[in-house]
Amino acid sequence: MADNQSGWDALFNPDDELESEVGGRSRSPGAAGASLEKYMQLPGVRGAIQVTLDGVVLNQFVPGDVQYYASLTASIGSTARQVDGMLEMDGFEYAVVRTSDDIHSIMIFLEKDSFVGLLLSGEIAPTHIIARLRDPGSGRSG
Amino acid sequence: MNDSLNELAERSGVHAVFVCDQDGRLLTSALSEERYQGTLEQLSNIIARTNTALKTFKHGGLTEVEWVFASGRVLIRGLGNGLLFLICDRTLNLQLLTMKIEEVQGEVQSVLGAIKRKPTSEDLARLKQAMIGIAQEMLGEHAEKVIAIIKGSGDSLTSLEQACDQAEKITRLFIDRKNAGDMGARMRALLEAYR
Repeated sequence: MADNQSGWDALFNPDDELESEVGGRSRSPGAAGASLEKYMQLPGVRGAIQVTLDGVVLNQFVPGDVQYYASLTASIGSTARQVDGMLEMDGFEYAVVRTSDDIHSIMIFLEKDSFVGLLLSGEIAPTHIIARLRDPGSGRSG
Repeated sequence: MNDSLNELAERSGVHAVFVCDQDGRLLTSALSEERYQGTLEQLSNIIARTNTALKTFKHGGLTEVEWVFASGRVLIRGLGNGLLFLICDRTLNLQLLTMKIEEVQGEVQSVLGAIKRKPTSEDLARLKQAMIGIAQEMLGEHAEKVIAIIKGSGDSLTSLEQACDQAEKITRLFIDRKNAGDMGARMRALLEAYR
């Protein structure tokens, strides 16, 4: 946790690290934000964002362009659900999007009634994240 | 390009490979499972819309996406002018497949740059209007019969080509022998963009 915290300080501006604002709506993480913290503690996770199915930011620990990551998370998540229905794939589990910025990839999945996007560094494979999330000790809900 | 797509589609665990342009129009496909045939166009359309939406951000559109479902995977590669899709088993060897995709990707990308897309009904309406404009410009008040031929043609590229031939013939015989060839050539040049 201590290592993660020092990385955190390097990544985020302390003035706005716990604020999210899209479309005029702004919230502090509060109780719901705690659900993202568990992802931030996973090795290789550089940021996390939680959006409603419509793309409104609920919580975020994102270095950089919040609106972009919110739109990406919501649009990839909702498109995945449409694709799932169209191809009869029996349920969307997760998506991985490689990006051209300094974040290596973004992993997106559905949690309760929201999409979660995890910004991953190059050294972590999404399958490792899944393994950690499925480990009862990691405390994943939903 | 089709040979390469067929090679990909014939791999064990791969059910469909297809390419769409940046507007979501399905350009070509290779299927090992026919059940996907009816959905490819719709799928191309939805994902191209997502791609376009993301392009409004400075980070650009989709370059590489993998969707994992309970009973399958969908892989997408952004190729500048279009998107390459693969529908496959969830359990297939992704590393081997990725190597093959990378081999094919460059070829598909270069072909995509050269592909001329199939005209939509809006394109055909615009083409008709442009052909009418050429007739009016070159034949003036005598363009009426040629305009009627163009307006009466069907909604396909072939119908417009036939209308172009007929308009040139009528013009040569009855309206303006000197300008008939030029008028036909200008109309054909418009249609050539879609050939």
